[in-house]
Amino acid sequence: MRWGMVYNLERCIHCGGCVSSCILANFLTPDMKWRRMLNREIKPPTKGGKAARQWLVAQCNHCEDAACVEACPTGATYRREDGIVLIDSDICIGCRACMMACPYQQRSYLEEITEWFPGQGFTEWEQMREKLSPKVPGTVNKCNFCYQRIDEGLKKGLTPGVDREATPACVNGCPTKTMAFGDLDDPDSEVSRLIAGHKAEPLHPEWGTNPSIFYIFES
Amino acid sequence: MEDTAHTKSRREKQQFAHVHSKPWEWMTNYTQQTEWIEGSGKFIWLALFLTELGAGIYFMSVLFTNPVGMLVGWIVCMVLGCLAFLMHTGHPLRLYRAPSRFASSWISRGFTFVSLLGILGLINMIVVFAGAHSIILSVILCIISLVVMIYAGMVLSFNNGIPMWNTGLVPFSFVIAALWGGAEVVLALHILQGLPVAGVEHWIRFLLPCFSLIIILYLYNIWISSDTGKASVARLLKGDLSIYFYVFVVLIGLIIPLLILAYSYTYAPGTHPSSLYVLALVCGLIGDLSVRYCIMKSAYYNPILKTAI
Repeated sequence: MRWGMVYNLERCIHCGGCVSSCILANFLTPDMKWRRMLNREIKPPTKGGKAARQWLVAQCNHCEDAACVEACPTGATYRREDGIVLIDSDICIGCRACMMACPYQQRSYLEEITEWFPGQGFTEWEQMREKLSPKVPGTVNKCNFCYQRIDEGLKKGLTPGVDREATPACVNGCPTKTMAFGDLDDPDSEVSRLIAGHKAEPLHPEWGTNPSIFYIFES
Repeated sequence: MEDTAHTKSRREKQQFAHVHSKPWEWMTNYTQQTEWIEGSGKFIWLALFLTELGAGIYFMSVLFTNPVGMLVGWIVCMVLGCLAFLMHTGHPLRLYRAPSRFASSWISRGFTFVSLLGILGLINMIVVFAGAHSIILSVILCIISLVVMIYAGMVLSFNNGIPMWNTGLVPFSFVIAALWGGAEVVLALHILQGLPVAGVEHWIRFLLPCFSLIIILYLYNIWISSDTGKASVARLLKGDLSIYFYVFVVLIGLIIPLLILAYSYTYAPGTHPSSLYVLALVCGLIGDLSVRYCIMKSAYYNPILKTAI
């Protein structure tokens, strides 16, 4: 089993719903960037031609050959048998070697816990963080594929990617079904079918990290 | 023709991004690494410099059996270097876990070898200060010192997302720089102690030209390696880092020591004024520190999207 995700960028409307779902579900602080909406202008091929804008949502690729796992000196970053790469905040020393090693720049360092509305104090939702999902300053963090939801869902006999309760928050938060989540090792899963049918590809396969996130790029 | 020249100049401007990517180009263009050079990240720059320099001093002191040099090297590496690394980490009290991933992590390997240098180096110093000498221990310590000198470069060159670092020339140049710095410090100590300096000076005469050559080779190698690498080198040569590069690395770090070196050939080794040795030492250390700063500061990540703007 290897959990993975496919982005069909032809469907994405760049609403940022996945980003806000991730922030809300994981009680992220402003410095914790687990999902990033990137965009760039594609310059016209000829002078006076039409410029375009390319969008991409980037997150931890949960690579099979993760450079961050190898770079971590303490074993705080590790890869589970189901392919999810996690960070144990109780072991992380905050050396940030993993951040340097990740070629996709998908890790953030939490210097301190700051407010979403500077000078306004913590909101009720931010106060709930301490009880429900405490964060450890001085450590590195990143997307965890909402592994708690997956684990809990599997215990209840649910199928991640099919049943909302067992599916990562970002996938649930997408209004256009841009993202599909599932088992990359199962040829009948939606992700495997999308990869095969649309020739989806990961970001920079030449870096040899074998990512678990695939993209169907706009034609 | 005008159009071609205009397009070429525009392309060059984009390719050689002298300044950081604009905020909206974050990660879609060349993005500077900041975690290891800005804020508390400056401490890792100092930590890598001090541990390597300390190891270099220790190596040279063992070669020339200078117990004071060993002590200086040990303090620079174990006290100053480790203190800087502790300041860099978010949770220094958890540092005892650092050797856990010896098989894959260069930070882990570095921590292990720095610890070994600390323990065995201390034992060796006690032995030498007691008037004895163990050749086996000296050989082991020379090997450990070399590994400590290599590790910082390996930590950087392991990162394949940063072309400026992802080359074997980084550890090689760091080792040469550490040996050169070590030789300079030991030379100064020999002068202070009234010991013969000719032997150490031969090392410097060999290491300094090597270091200069490697820096040129390294920059050329990065320039031709990729667009991102080219942007990094362009930032050093033409961008906001050029003032540091030309003044601290080229002028103070290379030209002045090379001039002193050339001047030293007019004298027999060890006979020219000691003020020149001190000047060469100060310039060498500033140059070594600056070259590492430039290498770390100019490091760009490859763009996430396949083609850079």
